[in-house]
This record gives sequence, structure tokens and C-alpha cells, in this order.
Amino acid sequence: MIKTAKNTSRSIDNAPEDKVITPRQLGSITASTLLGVGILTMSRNIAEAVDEAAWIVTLLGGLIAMFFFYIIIRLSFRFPLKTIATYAPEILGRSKGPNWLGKLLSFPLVIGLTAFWILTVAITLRSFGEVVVSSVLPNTPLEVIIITMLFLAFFLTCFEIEVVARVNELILPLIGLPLIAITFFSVQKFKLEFILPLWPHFSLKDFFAGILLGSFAYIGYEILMVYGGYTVVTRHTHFYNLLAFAFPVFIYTTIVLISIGSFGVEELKQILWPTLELIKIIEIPGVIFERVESAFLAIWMAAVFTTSANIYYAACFLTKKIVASGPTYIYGLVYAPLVYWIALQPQNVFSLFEWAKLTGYVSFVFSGLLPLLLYVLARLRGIGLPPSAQYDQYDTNKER
Amino acid sequence: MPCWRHFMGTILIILSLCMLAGCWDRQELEERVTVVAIAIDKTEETADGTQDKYTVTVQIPIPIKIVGGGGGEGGGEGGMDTVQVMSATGFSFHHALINLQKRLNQELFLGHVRVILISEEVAREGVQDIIDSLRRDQQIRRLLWLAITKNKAADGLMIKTSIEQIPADYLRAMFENSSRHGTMPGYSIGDFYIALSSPILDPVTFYTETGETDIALNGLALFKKDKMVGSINEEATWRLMHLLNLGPGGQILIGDKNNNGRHLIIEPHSVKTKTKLLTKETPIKAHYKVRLEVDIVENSTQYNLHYPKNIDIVSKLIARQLEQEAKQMIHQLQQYGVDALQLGLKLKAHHYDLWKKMNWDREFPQVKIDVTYDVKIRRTGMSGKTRIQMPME
Repeated sequence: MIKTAKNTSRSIDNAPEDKVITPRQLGSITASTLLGVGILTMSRNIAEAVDEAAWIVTLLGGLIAMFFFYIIIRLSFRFPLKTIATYAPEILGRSKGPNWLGKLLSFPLVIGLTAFWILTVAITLRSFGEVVVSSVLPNTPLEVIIITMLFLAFFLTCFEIEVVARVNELILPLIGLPLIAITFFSVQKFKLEFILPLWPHFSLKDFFAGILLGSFAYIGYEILMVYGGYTVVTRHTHFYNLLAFAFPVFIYTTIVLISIGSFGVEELKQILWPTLELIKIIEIPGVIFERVESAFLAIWMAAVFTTSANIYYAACFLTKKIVASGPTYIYGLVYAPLVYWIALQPQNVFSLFEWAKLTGYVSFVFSGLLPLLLYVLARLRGIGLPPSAQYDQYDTNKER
Repeated sequence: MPCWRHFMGTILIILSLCMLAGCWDRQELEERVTVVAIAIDKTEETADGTQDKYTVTVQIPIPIKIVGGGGGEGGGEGGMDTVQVMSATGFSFHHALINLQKRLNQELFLGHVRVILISEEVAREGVQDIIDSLRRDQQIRRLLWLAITKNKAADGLMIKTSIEQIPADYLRAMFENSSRHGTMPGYSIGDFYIALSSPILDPVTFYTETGETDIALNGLALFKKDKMVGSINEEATWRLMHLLNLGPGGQILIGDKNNNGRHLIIEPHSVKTKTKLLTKETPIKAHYKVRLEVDIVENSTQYNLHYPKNIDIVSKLIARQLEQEAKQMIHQLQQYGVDALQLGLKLKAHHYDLWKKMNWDREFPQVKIDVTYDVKIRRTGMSGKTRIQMPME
């Protein structure tokens, strides 16, 4: 077992962070963040652009995102106990003496990243609210649903990073296992003719545009630029993390494939929440369960919680590192009204979808290009720990 | 800092008290009117020149009369005693529901609707507006049954039955079992939506005939876009199911019906169909190869099936008749221009470039479709040597 921080009797605020996240926990954070609100709408979004090829695009886009994700973990592991707020100036600025240049250059990046996360959380919460209002609780005000979820996310910021990791480790099986079961139950109405031709109107331009679009479906893995530095790095870490990324890619691809195969592309484009609709037509033999969608919504609620709370925590934690003082929850309190305000900005579901699409484009900058740039620079300038020095001994509690 | 912790704890407890207040959307079962079946008819012209387009009739079970077996006063008749049937008119489907709501004591609830009947008169004029309304309603599920009735749709809700307590349940079971036993294709309203939104598929759904007190499944209603253009009968539906590989269909009478009662009834068990599209030729050719396994249910022909040679003859006989019926069915479909065979979908899936070049709607009636049946007789039964059957050698 890994021994965690020495000062276990610390108070709730101002606790010094340590390497407290196990590889498995980091994997859970990745997987449960990726499995989020997008699961309900992504099949339609992608099918609108590339028709029958949506599932190929989801798969290939997932591989692209996985590449960026790998860059992020390599980057994070170079800088133990640091978030992007600390290592970005180091990479961008002078290595000796006062580093004004680095701070100046990295400041907009880090602020932008935080703002992007705030936006993502707001969109996630709003989408969550929309689904709940339109399908289960028509009379409950949207505001109440958003506030409830936001409160939960805020509640997590009252604790340390270790707690976030544990929560994810606990919740992931609760999301993952039923999701696998439901995915396979929904194969019933699958029709091969609906997914053929594999890629109508194929062209190279469409191909790359499609893959890029597919990669936008995976939002949230860039929070590893915050959590990554607090991980105990072992030989298994990379494996766990790539496995954790592969799981959502698999689930997403299967769901998109089955959605197209069950509805056909044209029908898919006309369904507001295709995955929910897909689950509604499941008939589990024996009539033990009917209306499986309520079970799915319960699971999905947990998935939304982990997504929004993880990202929210990352945003607050990052701000704490920029300001370099105060407990995390203070920033949680500051950001909560902001998130709430942004979440209520889209007029209706369609403008919400536009916002979500925008988030997808922005995510490419922050989770793709930014870490790639930083990593390449760090490698070229030789800043941070080289890969061989990153590994911890699994069974000893080294002083750092 | 213990002070902070106490503060947080108190806040938490207060906040969790809010959760105890219960559900915002709480609605008691008794507080709503549960509709189990809907029928849509065209409004008859009345003297005062009403502009309403549809008459919508709903069937509402009366909970008190259903609870338990012995509750019913007067011996529990079942049928129409346990339900209330109400109707209202309106410009559109939903407008009629609004008008209906005015006369109800509780809120209408459509979440338990299992059957929707639409009269042929309405269907021939187009159902786009009705489907649109159903689609938008979150309570309407994709797995309910949509059927077109030859006569008045509302009559379908008035059927008298003592088998089920609620007539709508009887209807639902009829559709459900027919698709479960493979005697009818299980086309639900979800399939109708899919076909309606697809540019290649033509919607197809159940066609029924309502009498004064009962309802019969009569085959399939064929749609072009959202308008009904025709129907095929039950036998043709079974041949269609063979070609689509959907199920064995019902029992088949082989032989001339007037032929001194010399006939054969067979029960198909399993069907396996291979489709081949010959795209090199113009017009396109399609070839169906159906492999059917049948049992003999009744045999009054002169063929004694204890002899393998006779089995050969009889299976060829069966095959020839089925081929002919299938061709008739295809001819019917091509005349209506309704691609219920989903050939267009196959063409798009496997020969996309070709499909893109042609106008399938115009092409379908010209397609040469060939059907061959390969019938395997599995169980012939033991009784063979009757007087009329002559032994072969």
C-alpha cells in the first residue's frame, strides 16, 4: 500500500499537498471525467457532420485525444507536486533568476484554462438540467437542478485532492459496469443496413475534419494538468491511464455505432437525446425490468457529478495555485455564482448545443495544442524530471 | 479549525433538511387520467359546419372496477364496464386533446398509451401532423403499436371482450403476440418514425378492420411519405415477412379452395432468406432465395406423405404456390410504389454510388424481382393411408 501524507491530522484548509493519488485513482479520475454529459448527445452531433461514418470518427477522434492525453500525463509527471500554474512559467521563462517573462507568458494561458473549465462546468450542468427537466421532472425549475448539482461540486472543493481521487475510484465502477450492461442490451434493434455505407461522400478533407470533430467529444482529460502532479508514478501508471482513456472511447464508439444501427442516420438527427431514446426501446427479456431509462439516468447522474465536480475542483485548485494562498473552497465559493450565471445564459437547448460545440473547439486549444507546446518546449530545454527519474518506489515512503 | 467544521456541519444539516421536503414533481396516481388507447378519426360534417378536423377518442380505465377479481358489481363483465371512452374534436390531434382536457376532472396522462388507432380516411390524407405531435410528447413511447383501421377507428376502442379487463390490453396483446410468434412483423411506432424521417424507407404499419364489437388484424397498411396509399392482406404480409427474413408468418392453405376440399395446410417454422442484387443490369434485378421449413398440419390431397417421392412433389407444389403469391405481393407493392421490401436501403448500403445516381422512387416499380422458394417438409404426421390417397408403387 502507498502511505499517504504524513500529516493526517491536518485541518481542512491550507493542507500541504503530497503525492497522494494512486495510479488506479488517477485512471478513475480520467475515465469518470470523460464519461459525462456528452454521452446523451454525441451520436447526433457527430452524425450531423459525417452521417454513417460517425462511429469511425468517434473511434479515431478518441485515438487522437488519447495521444494528447498521453502528452499531458508525460508533461505532468515531469513536474511532481506542481500544477500547470507553476510549471508553465518555468517552461516558458528563464530558468534562473526572477522569472517575469515566464509569468507574463503563462498568465493568459492559465487564466484561459481556468475560464475554459468554468465554461465547461456551466455547460455540463445546464445540459444535465435540460435532460432532467425534459425527460423526468418537467415541473422542477431548471435552476434548482443546477444549484443542487453545483452545490455537490462545491462540496467537494471543501476537501483535499486525495478525497477527489477516492470519490472517483468509488464511483467509477458504479458508472462503468451498468453502462457496459446497458450498452450491450441495446443491440436488439441493430440493423446492419443502417450503418452502411461506412463512409458516404468520403474525402480527405472530410476525413480530417471528422476526426477532429470526433476528438471534441472527449472533453475534460486536460484536468490531469492539475491532478497529474500529485500522482505516485509507478511502472503501471501509464498502463492504467491509457486503459482508463480507452474505456470511454470504447463506450462512446459502441453507443454511437448502436444508435446509428438502431435508428438510421436520418432519424438520429431528429432525436433530442438519442442515447436516452435508444435505452427506451430496450426490452429486457422476462419483463423483470421495464423502463430501463430511469436506471440509466441514475447512473448518468453520477457520471455528470464526477465530470462537473472534477473539473470544478481542478479550476478552483488551479486558481489557488495561481494566487498561491487560501483554501480551495474559497475559490469554489467565488466561482459558484459565475458558473450558475453562465449556465443560465443559453436561451434554449439549441443555443446550448451551439455553446457546447464552441467548448469543443476551445478544448482543442487547451487540451491539445497547449500541452503539446509545453511538452515539446520542456523536452527541448530539458526542464523537469526526465522519464527515468519520475518513478517512485512503490513500497517505500520517500521523503521529498 | 473546529469552528469552521461546526459551521459547515450545521449548514449541511440544514441543507439536507431541504431534501426531505419531497419531490417537486410528485403526482399521485389518482390525480391523473391514464389513457391506455387513442383512436383518431375524421370529424363528420355536422349541421353547424364545424371546422374541426379530427375526432380523438381515448380509452380510460376506471381503477376501482379493475382492482381485484371480484370487485365488479354485477359479476364483473369486463369489456366496456371497466373503462370509460371519451372523445373530443379539434383542428389537430393535440387541439382535440386540449378540448378533451376541458371536460376532465384530472390531468390527462399519456405515458401508458399502448395502442394508437388511426382511421384509413385520416391516414390517406396524411399523418405528418399527428406524428409530429406524438413525437414531441415526451410521454409517448417508441414501443407502442400504431394501427390503421379500415372503418371508424373509435370502434376499435369499443370492442367487447371478457378475456381481458381492459379492451386496450386486448388490442395490445393482439399486436404483441402476433409479432412475438412471428405471424406479423413487429412494426412499432418507432419504426414508423424511422421510416418517415428516412428518405429511402417507406412507412408500413398494421392494417386492421373493426367491426361492431371486434377487431381483426388484416395485414399491412402501406404509406408513401406520410400518406397511406394502399394495403396488403395477411397472406401477402407473410410472404413479405419471408422475403424480409422477419419470421415464418402464419399457417398457409395450399391448393385451390374450390378443389373438392383437396387441400394442404402447412405451418412454416423457420425461414432463411438470401437476397442478391444484380446491379450490372438496368433496370436492376433482385433475387430472393427463401428457404422455408414447414410442418404439415392438414392433408386431404391424394399424396401419401409416407413416401419420400411424394414429399418431393408436395414440397415443389408448395414452393410454386408460394412463389406465385410472393410475386403477386411484389407486383402489388410496385404498383403502389411502396418499397416495403427495403430494397432501397440495401442498395444504398451496398451500392452507394449507384444509389446516388438514381431516383429510387421512380426506379423501384421497374425493378425485376425474382423469388424462389426452397421448401423442406420436416414433420408430416403419422396418419397417411386414407382411402383417397393412393400408394405410390
